Amino acid sequence: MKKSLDDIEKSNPFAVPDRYFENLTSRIQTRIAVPERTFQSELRFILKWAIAPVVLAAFFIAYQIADPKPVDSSFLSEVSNEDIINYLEQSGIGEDELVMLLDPETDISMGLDQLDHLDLDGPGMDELINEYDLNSDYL
Amino acid sequence: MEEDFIISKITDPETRSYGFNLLVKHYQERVYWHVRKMVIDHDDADDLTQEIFIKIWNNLEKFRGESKLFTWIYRIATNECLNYLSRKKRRFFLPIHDLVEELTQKMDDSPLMTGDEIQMKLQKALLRLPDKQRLVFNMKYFEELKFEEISLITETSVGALKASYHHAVKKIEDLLNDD
Repeated sequence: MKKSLDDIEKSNPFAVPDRYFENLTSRIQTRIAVPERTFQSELRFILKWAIAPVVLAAFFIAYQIADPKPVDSSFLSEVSNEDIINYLEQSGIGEDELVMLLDPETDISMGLDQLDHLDLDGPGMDELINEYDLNSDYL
Repeated sequence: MEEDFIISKITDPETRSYGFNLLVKHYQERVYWHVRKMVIDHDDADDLTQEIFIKIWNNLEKFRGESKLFTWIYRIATNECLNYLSRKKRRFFLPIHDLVEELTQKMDDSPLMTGDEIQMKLQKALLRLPDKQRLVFNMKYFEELKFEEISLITETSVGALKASYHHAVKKIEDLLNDD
């Protein structure tokens, strides 16, 4: 005889451990009282604080690449010699390093060899004195 | 416990925790059995039931009272069941019938199965249905929910549900008579 669902008694074939439902509520309450730190929540926490500086850095780099501005040397002329010298003294930069920073086309030796042959008592001194500003603080 | 009373507690931030406690006590068994019939194993059902209530807790503020509380809870439980079974199948990287074999084996091995021979045969036949069809069958046949209620829970039309249930019944009866 063909079986049909109507012939089968509806009953629950599954069982649970003793007192299972008595403890279930308290176990759930314990879990929600202590928020679980999952990998996803940790990652969200890190990204939350890292994302802003990363985005800013990315924008800055993109901006620099898109519109690189050459250093404007004209502003240096607005800086006084005294400020420049103070800066150099404080930075501890030596003479050799200064030389290295100069434009390679600048020949700082120009004129120096002339000093070797300078006769301080000779007539050339007048010429030299006329050439240089004796009021300069650096003479 | 009146559903309205629970809703009045969970929608008030001052009494939300108390209201949630009432909610769990009131719905825990229904949710558990709804899950257990799908995942078969008690430990899996226990884990999933707890996850469902934690999800309910985390989303309590989103409950607006547009649906019944029971409908809202069952919708979460149903979706979590389906997601769980999908994940299980993906993890195995095996054809669907292998998960069926696994669940069938759990039924045979579990000391927490108390049904007689025909009951066990029915449960094993149910495992051969697609997950959503099995869910609909369980809600209609065992829990005796109306199609309109199942429609709100599964967000599927009543017509589609009736067709699904009718085909499920026919399939089950064919399997039961396959000796």
